[in-house]
Amino acid sequence: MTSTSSEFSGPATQPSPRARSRSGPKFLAGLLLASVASMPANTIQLLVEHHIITGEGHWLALALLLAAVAGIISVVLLVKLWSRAIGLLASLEFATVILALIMIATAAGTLIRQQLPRDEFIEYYGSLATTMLSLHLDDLFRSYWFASLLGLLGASLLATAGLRIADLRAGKRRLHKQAGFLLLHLGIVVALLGGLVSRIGGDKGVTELVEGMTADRYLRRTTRPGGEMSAPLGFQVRLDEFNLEFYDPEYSTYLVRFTGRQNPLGHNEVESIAALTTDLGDRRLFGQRYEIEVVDFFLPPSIAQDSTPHVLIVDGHRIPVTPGSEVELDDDLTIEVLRFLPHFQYDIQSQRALSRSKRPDNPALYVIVRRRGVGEALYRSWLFGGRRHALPETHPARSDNEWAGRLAYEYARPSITLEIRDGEYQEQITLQMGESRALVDLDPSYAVSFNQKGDRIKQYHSTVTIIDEGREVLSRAPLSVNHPIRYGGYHLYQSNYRWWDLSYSGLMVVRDPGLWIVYAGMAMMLAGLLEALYLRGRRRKRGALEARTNEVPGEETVAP
Amino acid sequence: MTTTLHNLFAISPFVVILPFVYAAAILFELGSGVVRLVTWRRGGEPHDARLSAVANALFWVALILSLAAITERYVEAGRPPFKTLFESLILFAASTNLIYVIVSLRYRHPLLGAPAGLLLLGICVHAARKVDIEIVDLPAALQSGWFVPHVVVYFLGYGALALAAVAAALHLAFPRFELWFRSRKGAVRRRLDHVMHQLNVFGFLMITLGLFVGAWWAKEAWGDWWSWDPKENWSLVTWLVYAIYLHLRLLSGWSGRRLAVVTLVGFAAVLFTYLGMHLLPTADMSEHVYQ
Repeated sequence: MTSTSSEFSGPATQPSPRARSRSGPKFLAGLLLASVASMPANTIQLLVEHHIITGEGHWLALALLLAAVAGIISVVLLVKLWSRAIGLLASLEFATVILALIMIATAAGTLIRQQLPRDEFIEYYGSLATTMLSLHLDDLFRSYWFASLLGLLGASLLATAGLRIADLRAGKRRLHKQAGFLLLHLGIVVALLGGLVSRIGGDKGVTELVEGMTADRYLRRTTRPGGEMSAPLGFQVRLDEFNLEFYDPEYSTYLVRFTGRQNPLGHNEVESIAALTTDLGDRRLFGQRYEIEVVDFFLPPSIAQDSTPHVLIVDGHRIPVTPGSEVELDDDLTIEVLRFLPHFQYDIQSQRALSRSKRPDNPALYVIVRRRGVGEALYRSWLFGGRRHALPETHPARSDNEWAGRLAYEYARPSITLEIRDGEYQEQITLQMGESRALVDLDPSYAVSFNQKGDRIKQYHSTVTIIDEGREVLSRAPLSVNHPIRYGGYHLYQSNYRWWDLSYSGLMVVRDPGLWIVYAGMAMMLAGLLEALYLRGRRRKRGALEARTNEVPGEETVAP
Repeated sequence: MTTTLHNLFAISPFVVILPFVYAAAILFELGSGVVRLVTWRRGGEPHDARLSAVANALFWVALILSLAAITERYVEAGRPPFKTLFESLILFAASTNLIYVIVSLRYRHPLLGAPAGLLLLGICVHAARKVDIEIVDLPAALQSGWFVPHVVVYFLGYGALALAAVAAALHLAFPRFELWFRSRKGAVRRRLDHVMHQLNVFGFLMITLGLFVGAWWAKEAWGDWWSWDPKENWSLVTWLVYAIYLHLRLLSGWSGRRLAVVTLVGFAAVLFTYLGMHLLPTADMSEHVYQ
């Protein structure tokens, strides 16, 4: 905390009785000006939306005529009242009013649901909806009136900076004392301008790819939902590969306490959850001083050594495999491991195998056995690695094909052994991954379950090639979250994936021509803030500081 | 109670110890106040028999403990420990504590200690109530070099603004306490105002920097430097309140109590930005809400 008071002392800031008496009217004038600016803005937006301005020639002519008249009147007024108008715009009162209005509008934009489809908005807000819609409160941040508030802020900042610069040129102030102030206030103007440039010249959309596919267009997102349209990229992007990177699997034992009630969906209501790690000796107290402790943890070798839970059992031999790979057997045979579905379900309507969820509740692996070199498959089937789901006896997989008997699949699950103690009483229970048990003997309001920890995706990796005019300008470039690619004025972002179709990758496409203007504005603001609030203060003498802190205006008079 | 403490201790021993250290610091600060008052009433120079020095030492101990808690969590989680509400509350305590010890080094304000300790105690107790069930992984968007600077800068700002609010509350709550110190009329309050303003200025600088770092990062992660996300909007609202504060300060008639009220409004906005996002009807649009 360096020692200084703020130095933003403009002409209107000297605490004189005259200034005090003029504060109120200036606040009011600011409010008036803001509403005078934002109401026509809203009207113009309504006219544009109802195609009244652009739709028919005579309306357009009328609008232009009105605009011209308004323009002439305001120019006349401005010339007559120029210095007073600038003075008002540059005043602290006006700045405060406009900042407060933007603040209120921003808060309102979080309290009112934004960008809902129109009918949903009307349903949600009922009788108020029509009024709110006519004020564009459903898409507040893109409304013309909000933009006009930002415009007024810009005008106010320009006026303030303009007056300072005029003072500098007249020799009333010295530059080195105004640099921070000017940088800060003009920085905001620059950032606002950058935003405007991006808004007018920018584009944003998505392009959806599967491995091997090339796209030269993207689906542009317009401001209104439902108004999407396809637009050319100007170059081609090919998705070479898409991969998910996972965290190493981790497991937890959850000790759940139920309230004994059920929620409206019929599930037992949970009062609290505690988790134990797989570390031996990790323990918790619960209930009436019962104790639970991890005494053993078994990690199957396929997970521990080969980092895969999938084990193929061929003629009694256990072979760890990963989906998408191929296993070579001795006698010229290969087994292709094609797909893994964690929660297998056969969808009758689409006649496709699907996964109901990401949890391995019914793990299934699709395999094809072939003789090497010869394309024909000897056997193709889904294999099931779960404990509970055996195929019915009549299933085609239980055919007379010899491979049906020689091939099995095990989805390896770690298990944990817990010891539960209550004074003399001791009990050990072992849970396999995915298993839950109620502690009926001890306290039926408790249950333990042993599971893999939640969503374990670490990163989404796309590998893309950019092709411009038939030439590969960027070959097999990595693209992941937080690491976009820049080409041809566009940024490409990793933005989407489908857990049920891992050859798919959704890329976001953004063109943001004002970006560096915005960054420049931000840098100016930071430099200005540092200078105006900090660095200048260090140069001042300490004595001056003490004097200043004692001259806080508006308080009761300082005793001599 | 013992069960909860036992289990909490198994998760993070520092989080169990911290509230007791703050409670002790508060007691010593209060004791110092009482002794000062008594010695003054007896007609001598007010002194506190080094009680406030002990309290100050306790704040340093607590700072080390909270940094140890963050380090421990960093090691255990294998990532910057600023992901969950619990983790962020520990960071909030550490940053507020850090700002407090710097403020007390610089300004030695006799009144700030007890309420600052109370604030820190509140943060820690809240953290203990919100303790994580287990370590949570970082989603891809948070795996960025901008994560740590963004969060740390913001929380340094929040810490300063929280202490500014403490000073503002003191200003409003005890309009006549300067009598206790036989100081010049208004002098103690003006010192309090000075501390409050310095903290507000520093906090404003930090939340500006945090906002810009966030914008830069958001551009890298989500493609937009600003997307009118509820959390972004509320950080803008907070920023605007303090911007208004800085302007109002220069108007005549705006000082003392009025600015203290604006400071409290600003901190209310900070708290809502930090903790209230899940209450908004637009919360489902945000990528920033603590679960």
